[in-house]
Amino acid sequence: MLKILKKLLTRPLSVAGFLLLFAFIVIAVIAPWIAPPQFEHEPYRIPRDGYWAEPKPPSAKHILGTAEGQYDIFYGVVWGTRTAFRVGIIVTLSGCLIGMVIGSIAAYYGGLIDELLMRIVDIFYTLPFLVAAMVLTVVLGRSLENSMIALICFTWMGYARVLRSEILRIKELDYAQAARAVGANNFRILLRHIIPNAMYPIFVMVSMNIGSMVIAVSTLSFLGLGAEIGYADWGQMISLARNWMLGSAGNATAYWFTVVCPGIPIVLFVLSWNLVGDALRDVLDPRMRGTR
Amino acid sequence: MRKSLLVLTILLVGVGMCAFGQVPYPGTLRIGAISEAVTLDPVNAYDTSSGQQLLQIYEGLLAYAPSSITEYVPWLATAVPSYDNGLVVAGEDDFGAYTLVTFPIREGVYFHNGNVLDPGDVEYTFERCLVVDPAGGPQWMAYNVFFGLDYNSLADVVDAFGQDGAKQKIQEAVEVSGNNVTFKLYGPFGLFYSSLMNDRTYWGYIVDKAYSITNGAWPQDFDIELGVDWKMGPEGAASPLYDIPNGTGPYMLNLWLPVEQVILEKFDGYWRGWDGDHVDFMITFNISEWSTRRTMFEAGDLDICYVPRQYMGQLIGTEGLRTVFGYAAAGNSGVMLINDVNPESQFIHSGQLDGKGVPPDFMNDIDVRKAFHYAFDAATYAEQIYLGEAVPSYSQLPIIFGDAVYQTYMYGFDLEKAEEHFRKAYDGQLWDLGFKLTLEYNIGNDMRRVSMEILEANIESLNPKFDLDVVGLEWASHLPAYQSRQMMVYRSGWGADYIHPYNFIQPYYHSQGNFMRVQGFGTPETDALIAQIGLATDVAELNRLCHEVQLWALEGAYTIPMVDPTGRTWERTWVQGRWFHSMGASSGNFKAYDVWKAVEGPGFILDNILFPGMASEEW
Amino acid sequence: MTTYVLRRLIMLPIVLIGVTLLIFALLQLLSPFSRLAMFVTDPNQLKQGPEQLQEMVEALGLDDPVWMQYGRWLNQVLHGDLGWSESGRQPVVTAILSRLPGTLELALFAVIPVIFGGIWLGKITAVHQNKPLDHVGRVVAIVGWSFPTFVLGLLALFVFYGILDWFPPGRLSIAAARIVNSDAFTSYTKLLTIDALLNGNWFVLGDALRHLIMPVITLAYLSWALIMRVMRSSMLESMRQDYVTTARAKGQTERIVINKHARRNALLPVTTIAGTMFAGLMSGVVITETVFNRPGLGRFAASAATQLDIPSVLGFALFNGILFVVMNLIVDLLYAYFDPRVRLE
Repeated sequence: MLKILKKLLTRPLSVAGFLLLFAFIVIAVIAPWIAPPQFEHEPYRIPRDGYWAEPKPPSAKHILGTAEGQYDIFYGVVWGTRTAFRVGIIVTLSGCLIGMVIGSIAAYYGGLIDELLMRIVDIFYTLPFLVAAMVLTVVLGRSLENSMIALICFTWMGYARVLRSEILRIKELDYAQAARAVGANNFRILLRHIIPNAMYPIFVMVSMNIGSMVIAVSTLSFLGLGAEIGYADWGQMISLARNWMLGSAGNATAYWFTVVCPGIPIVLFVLSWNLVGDALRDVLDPRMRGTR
Repeated sequence: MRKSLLVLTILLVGVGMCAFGQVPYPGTLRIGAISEAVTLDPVNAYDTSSGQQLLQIYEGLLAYAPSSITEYVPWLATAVPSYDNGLVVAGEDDFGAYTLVTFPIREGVYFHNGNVLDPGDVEYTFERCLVVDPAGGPQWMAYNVFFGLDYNSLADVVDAFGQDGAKQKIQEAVEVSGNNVTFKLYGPFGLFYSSLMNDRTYWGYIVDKAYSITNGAWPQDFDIELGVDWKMGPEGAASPLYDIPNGTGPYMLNLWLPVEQVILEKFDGYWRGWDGDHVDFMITFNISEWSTRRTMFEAGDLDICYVPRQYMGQLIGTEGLRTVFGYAAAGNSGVMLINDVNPESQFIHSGQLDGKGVPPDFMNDIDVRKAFHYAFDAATYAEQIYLGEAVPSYSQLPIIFGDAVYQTYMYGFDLEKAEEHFRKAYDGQLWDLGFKLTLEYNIGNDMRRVSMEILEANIESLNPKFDLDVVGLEWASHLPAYQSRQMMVYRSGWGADYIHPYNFIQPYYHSQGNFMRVQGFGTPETDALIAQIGLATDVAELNRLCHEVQLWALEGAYTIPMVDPTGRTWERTWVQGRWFHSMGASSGNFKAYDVWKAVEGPGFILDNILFPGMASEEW
Repeated sequence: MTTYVLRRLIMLPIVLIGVTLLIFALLQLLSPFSRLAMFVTDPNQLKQGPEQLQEMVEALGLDDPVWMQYGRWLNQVLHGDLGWSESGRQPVVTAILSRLPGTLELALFAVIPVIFGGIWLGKITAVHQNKPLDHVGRVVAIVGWSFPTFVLGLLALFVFYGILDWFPPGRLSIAAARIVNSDAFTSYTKLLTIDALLNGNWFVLGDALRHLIMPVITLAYLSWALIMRVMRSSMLESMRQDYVTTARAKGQTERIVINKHARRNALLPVTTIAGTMFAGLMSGVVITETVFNRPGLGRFAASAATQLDIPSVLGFALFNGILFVVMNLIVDLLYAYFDPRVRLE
């Protein structure tokens, strides 16, 4: 165990990743203290200072300025950290779990079940994600929770296919064949040998996706879905910047803060998850051991 | 010239001009819009984007006189019928009183396909309007004038006269005699020209009978079942002519790439001729992303650009741009207070006066209504949402109607009075119990949302037991909620169909009007007054009646007046000759025939008679 | 192998029916009035009140039972008619086919730098694992991945068009569009670059390329990261495989070891992802298309979905289904080509 920790803490990128992640966790935890909510029961509702459309630059009152509609950017960034974690973890892990179950069943049983499940995967791939998101929004109202449901329904397929193809590949490898020769039961082989070794591409995908869920939500916001307007969510805040990004006449960077202030957390968040994911994979993968 | 040669010439000239750094594409007007035409057939066009294209392609019998909203000039007709010149005659038959209006039709006018305009085309145009009655379309205005203000659809006519009677009445409504066309109106003559016959009421534009029938439109055959055969559905493309227009106007359709762009080109055989400076092409691009549109406008790749008001600050001071502002729009909005809401409505929560909801007839209490009126801060709304380019409204009649508007502020933002009325409501019970209500708006528009949020913030500040929240619904959820009467407080907007107070008073205040029908406060006495407004011919009488109705509405506190916005439009400094009429100013619709592009010129033609506050600024 | 291919293709109609049925079911969650929203877009249209809405619902058959509505649609499709797209103002088939060339062109131009660039980047970062090149490459790619598309797109638009005026938005300039629409120009494939070549028209070719550069680069920059990372990870793994060690022991040059042995096997998961990516690009990248104002399937599908234009949504789902099944088939065939151990069962 210590060996692993040591490995994790000696590579510079790995350390960077963990530090960043830790910093985000800290911000998420202390959010209620550094950005006290204005609406008691709705901490994710960003306080508004008026109704003007034009974003105001950073000032004493609004440390990071205000977004279109006078939403305080600092508040949005701080509470948006919580949102990013929530959305990223819930959606990715749910999707991953569903995908892994389906992928391993398909690979394990093969034959008709495999065909059927892979066709279901195809069906979901083909299903226009936006329709589902739109219908949910119309039926249930525009909210982050509904967007998360829509996102979960459309991320599991990747995991299913990758896991299945990895399992199929590993099945043929020597140690799996050896285990079979020794008489180990298939299911055991699957759980103990194959899946743990098939996980590595999954690791990569999970680490990419937790971070990028924020971006998926910002795409939804761009299209008019996503979280309610004024919800503390980085993706939404950056979406609010889209009509001001190019500044005003003669001053292209007049509204730089609307993009940079939510944008940097997004980039760093995605980066940190990727670095952490890479580091964990590099260290834990038995095939990586014994390498530089 | 062969088409390819023409194209090459234009290309070379364009490139040549570009090379000199003068005016890019000097013969082509390039417009950046955010929505696009639904149909190019006048009979079922009811949106302003279609209207803008139709304005160039087709024409009506009359046109507005310059700088006027009450006077007309002959256009496809050669005279403006009136009692004085004998072309308007009153009459009466067993159905009722009618007015006969006779138009002599101009000769030597050609459609784009070469056919000559004759009275048969006019007859066909209006008979078709009455027979196909597109669902959700504009022809209710035709029924209003042909049959009476109570007639809004073909179904109404068939109900009243039966199949055979209706067919007879429709045929009698428009008749040809020699070179004239005579209209028989049982409805108010006073609304005829403004709602159907001028150059801005596109549903009354004249189509070519032979061309239409050849291309699959109704064959002027009355051996059908009215309301079943040939009745048009709500889709834009319900008409076979929707994308193959053929009009008498100065421009014709060159290419329509759906959702992308519409290209109109000059019609050489236009009856008014082409002396002077004009553009040869008009391209309307549909560019939904503001930043993209803006960059193109600043780079000179667009000549006219739609600029949402909240972003106008980004363009102020940009070299090469001109903006025209300060003109009153022919439209406004109001917050409707709705009585007898659906008891199952999710917005009223518990549905009782128990502090956890409101009863469905909450708005029946006049103190509640007045309190809501005093809680709306129109000045802040005008300042922050319209960037100061709006004035608080007096009532639901926009200020462009001048003397017809009841020009006294009855309420205004006053939290003390709001509290006073809330305390009085329900004999004091409301103040003690509090209430919970959801305000709803249709997503897609910040103005709607903010109006609700202002009410929410102000009302909640009065009493901690007042719990409001604001929820946004997609149009697709909003529509059923609207249909099942779930909203209790709702911001509505209305853009003029035609310039006459009746067009605003009826929907807002008549018990069967679009909005009051939902609110449920209409009375037969007011209805009678409103009918008089539609029929009034004397200006003083008209104003008096309008005042009376508005006073009734304001005293009853039914619809919270919001603001009357002034419009703003943007173009490049090389655009010359553009002008607005009251109809079309709010949507930016203009006649391309009068526009040309040059480095020097008169710029935008300001009209301070129609728009006293209109001004222009350029950099 | 032919039987394998045939078997997979027979699955196609099943997938298509599955998708469209699922969408129909989803849409039944909405009330008939919600589904009317596509046709009634403005309260101005409701002059006659709520009864009018009911009339329209009935006229459009929106309150018929599900199976009846689906049956009607299916029947239409089997006669080759995908219905009318209200949001596209054209028949659905025309709406999709007219946007297909533009999207295909963009996807083809984008996929080449993405896949080959990503593979190359993945290879070199794996080979130089943990050295500065690896770090820099990974961070740069991830920064691209984490940018919301429109931020990059709008910035690119501003710099390369707003300031430099090199690469305008849209597909063609007005001058080039006039040439393309005239009789002098024949559109064989509707892919502008190819048609321009076939017509020998350098002006149009140059114009089309000029308008393609920015969307392509934007898309590529955003997608490199994924391919790079998967390539890197599977490359690292395959470099540790026995056959690689053997090859090295046999004295093969490092370059051949990497390129011939390790890389070939590393390409397997990449193929899977690349296939998905191309299909994804084909269904359109709505944000890129919106920002650069190009007509495309992405925008069409997005606007059809958000306006609840049901025939368009269903038609697009059919198109998407065919695309994915065919892409999957190609990917699986490639898989078998790259790894002889994988048998096509």
